[in-house]
Amino acid sequence: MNSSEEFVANNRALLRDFNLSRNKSLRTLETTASSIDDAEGTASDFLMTVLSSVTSPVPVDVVIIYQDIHLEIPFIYPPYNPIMPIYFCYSRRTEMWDHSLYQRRLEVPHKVYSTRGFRLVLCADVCDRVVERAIQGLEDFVKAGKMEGGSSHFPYRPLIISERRLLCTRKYDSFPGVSGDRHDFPASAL
Amino acid sequence: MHHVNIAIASQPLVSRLWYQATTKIELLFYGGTPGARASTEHSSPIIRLQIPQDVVEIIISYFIYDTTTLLACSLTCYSWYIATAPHLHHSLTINDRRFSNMGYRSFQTSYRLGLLPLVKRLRIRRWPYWSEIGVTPGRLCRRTFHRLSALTNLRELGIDYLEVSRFMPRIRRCFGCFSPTLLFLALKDPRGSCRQILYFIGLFPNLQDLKLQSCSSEGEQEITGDTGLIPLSTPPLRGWLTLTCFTRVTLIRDMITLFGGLQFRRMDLFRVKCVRLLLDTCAETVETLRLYPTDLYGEVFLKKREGDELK
Repeated sequence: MNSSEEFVANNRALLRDFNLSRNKSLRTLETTASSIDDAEGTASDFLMTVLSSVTSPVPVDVVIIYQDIHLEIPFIYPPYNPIMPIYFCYSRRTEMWDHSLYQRRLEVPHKVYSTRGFRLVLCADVCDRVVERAIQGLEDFVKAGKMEGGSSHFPYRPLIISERRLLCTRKYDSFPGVSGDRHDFPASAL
Repeated sequence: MHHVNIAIASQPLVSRLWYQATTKIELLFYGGTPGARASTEHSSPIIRLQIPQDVVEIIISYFIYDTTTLLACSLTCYSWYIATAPHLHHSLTINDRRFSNMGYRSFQTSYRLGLLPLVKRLRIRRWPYWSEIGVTPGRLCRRTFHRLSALTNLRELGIDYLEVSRFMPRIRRCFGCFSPTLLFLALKDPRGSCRQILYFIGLFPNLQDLKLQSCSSEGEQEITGDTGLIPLSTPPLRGWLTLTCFTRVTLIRDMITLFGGLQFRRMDLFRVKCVRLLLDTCAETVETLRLYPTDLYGEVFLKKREGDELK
């Protein structure tokens, strides 16, 4: 029994729910930066177990989704002005990126990579006006990881992509199916 | 902000678009072939005062993410207003109580100005949000229902706390107007039996994406008499399935039975009780799967495993 099979055997209970051995057409496994942060040490175990169950020979992309808050892009509401629509106004960030935080987030895919090879994709899911900043931040983060020997473990350079979000025009508009009152949503469906 | 949007696009694409735009402008002002400019410089040019609408729309499409610029463009002239209006009125949120806040007023205003056909996304919320009563026919007044039929291009519909059982058996009269165009449906804590909810979903024969949030079996009230309730159509449902805090396994089982299986290509599952059933049902079709390491089921297991290791 190799290490991968042994790992699967030890995680049977989790695989009762998250077993992907029958899924022949799976191309992408997505997760969020916030759930990786919240799960702390268990995130890599969870992803390793799920990925180890993939039997399809087709290459799989693992996508980690970063939203504004994970990229340290703070936002403020401008004072309500009846003439102009309300929208998120991003303040200028002057402080340095917290590389140690990003380094911790990169450790998870590094651990998982030992179970099954995949292409790592970092996705910035942010409002359009900060897309460039978010992409730059992710690139800095990958560079910093590489310098410290982190992402050099990947045979591929992590792919960096972005999901643009549209702003609502009216103050009370929000996205269907989202808790709370988010005033932006993905533009891909329009 | 304008140059930023253009700068993001790839350079060959921008060059091509720029060439196309300049060629069209040359044709407008100088007539003939694109190279005719030099030969017509000393003769009287053919001047048209209006840029064709398709060119205006190409220009405006660069600003769809920039609401402030769109608003400024809409005030420029009639043709620019026509090009910007669909981008400015794509979404609308209303509350289920009349006069509850500005959301309802913007709905009224949009109806009066004939803007509702431009709306592609509609969200109906319960008001006040802490109310025990969900969205019922009594809370959405008759005039609102009449006006909903003006949303002739609606693609996405989200309703919070929809009391499906209270709308039966006239639910088709209330929401059937969205049948031809609706592609995405999001329901937060819908109330009613599984058959009633599936009957509601079956009102939309072109539905691709489905999102169900906070659907627990605790509030499940199955009615013995509604087993004969058959959905009016079988929606394709080949896009996204998003389930969050979902424990109504019967609803998924009935959906598989009544819709003849499921063919979702993308699934986003968080705290879902029937993950195994969904993964097996969509085994041949699912291409993208979004999971969360903080998922209750995974987390419970991992904590238990840690406990076992300590023992």
